[in-house]
Amino acid sequence: MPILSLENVTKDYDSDGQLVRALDGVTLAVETGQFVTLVGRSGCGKSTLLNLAGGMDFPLTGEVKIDGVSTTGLPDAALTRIRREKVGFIFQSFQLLYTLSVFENVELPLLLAGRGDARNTARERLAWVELEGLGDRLPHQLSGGQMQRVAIARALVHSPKIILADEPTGNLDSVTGNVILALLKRLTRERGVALLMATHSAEAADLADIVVRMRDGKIQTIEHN
Amino acid sequence: MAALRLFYRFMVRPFFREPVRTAVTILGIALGVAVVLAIDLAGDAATGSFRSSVETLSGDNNLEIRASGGLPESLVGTVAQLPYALRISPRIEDYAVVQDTKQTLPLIGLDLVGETAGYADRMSGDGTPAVNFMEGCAHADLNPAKDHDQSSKTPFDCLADPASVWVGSSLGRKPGEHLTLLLNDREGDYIVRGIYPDLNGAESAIVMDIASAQRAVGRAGRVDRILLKSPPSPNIDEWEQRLAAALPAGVEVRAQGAGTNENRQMLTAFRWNLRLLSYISLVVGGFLIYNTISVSVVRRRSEIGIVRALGGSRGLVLSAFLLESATLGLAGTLAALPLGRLMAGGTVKLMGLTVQALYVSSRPASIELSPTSIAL
Repeated sequence: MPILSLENVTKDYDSDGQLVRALDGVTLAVETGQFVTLVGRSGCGKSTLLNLAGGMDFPLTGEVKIDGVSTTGLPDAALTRIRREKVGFIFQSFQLLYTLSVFENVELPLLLAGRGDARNTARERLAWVELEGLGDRLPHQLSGGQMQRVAIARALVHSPKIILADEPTGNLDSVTGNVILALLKRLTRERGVALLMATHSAEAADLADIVVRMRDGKIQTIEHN
Repeated sequence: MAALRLFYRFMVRPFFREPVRTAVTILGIALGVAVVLAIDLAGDAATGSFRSSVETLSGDNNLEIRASGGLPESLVGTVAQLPYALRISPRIEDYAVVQDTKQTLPLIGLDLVGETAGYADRMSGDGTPAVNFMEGCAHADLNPAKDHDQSSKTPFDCLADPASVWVGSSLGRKPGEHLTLLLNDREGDYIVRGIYPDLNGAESAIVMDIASAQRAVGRAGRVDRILLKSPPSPNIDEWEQRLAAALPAGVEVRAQGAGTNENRQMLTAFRWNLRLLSYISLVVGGFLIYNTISVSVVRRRSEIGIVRALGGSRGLVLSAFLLESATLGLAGTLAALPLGRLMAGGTVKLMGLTVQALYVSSRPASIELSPTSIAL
């Protein structure tokens, strides 16, 4: 069973009074441990697809299933629980909480889930992303690459089944970006976590197991590397 | 535990990170709550001692005759000639200022000569004590400065002496002491002839013979009220009707104490007015909380989004902000308790003056911070 599946999904947005079709009949399946990239121009529907995949939004038609559970019609509490247990997020602009230390940022999903053993787990995840010893720093004391590593550690801290990454290297220079991509590739392989990444990066596409090319809300091709 | 850590990190830490903003908010709330508390406490204190001082020595009378602007003294005779077994007690009621303490006290003129035995005998159902005015005059030194022929004076002359007054025990005076009183802008020297026990904690009144009181307040030939004690049968309504029929137009007969109840109702309305006005400051405090939380929500919009994406529920976010409001409110209220008590000290005097000027004579009681006030 795929960890994520989208079946003939459509989604419209209201833009200045005009309906814009952001996704148009998208069907996609992501298996456990797969590294999938979504590539295409800006506005082709990559971020919309990630929003639906993370249960942040609902499709107009079709069905999104996360670990076999359809998000359609699920109450907010159930969607929250799915995000808390099965999905990790990585954003282009890191989205760290700048008033919290690195440890506290990484612990956040565990505390939101009501788990008390957060500090040790956070320390372990920081070791995974090679940031041991930086746990007490505040985000503004870190470089861009380090901040994105913190975000990756945070996305992994609750052992999700799939990580959704929206342009995770978009704010990084190419060298740092490549390091982050390599790290993500290694972690998905080692930890068996699926990764669905929206990206413009050709390097990311080269590293992925599957490259999904999108245009005008539709999937053009699905390429297996 | 995890929730507490989250609350501390997201809600409590910002309080310390922005101490000025936090302090201003708490101060605003504290001021709002303190004003309400102060008005409430001061209202209690300013009117709490109101025990109908004009009803002092009204005894067991059950009816009163009154009219706007007072009654002609001849009406006492009219009532006395009615074919009913009524006890009649005409009264002069005004206020006197004790010059050395600047206390304003009710001045009551009673027919001491005609009724002194009655006051000594009666003990009303409401606990009004018997008062023997004659006792203070039995061996009185009758105003020796004015009167050289003491041997010709009787105790009744003492009762009717324009300088004789009786005061309540709470005034702390002794028989024989001289009092300088200001009555209707005229200062006079008076001698305390006797002390009567105050009624259930009511403030003292200055009592003098009705004729002396009429002269002192410049109402010769007038009385303010006539109190009556009617026989138990028929009922009081019937007595009201019978008497009303015998009295001229514009003169009202009503149950004795009805004026006190009216005063009580007016005081209650007055207190509610003040209370409602004070709630405006509470609304300001509430608005400050609303404003602080609104700004907090707007500023943390991205934080809220991140928390929601990472698994925070809507309820959790809502609870956090509600708890933040409650924390600010609690801190403000705690600060308001001593502040309100302090402000009440200043307010009670002003409120007491207003109550005295507009409604009735009252003596401010002590300010008590009761659990009810705190709960309010």
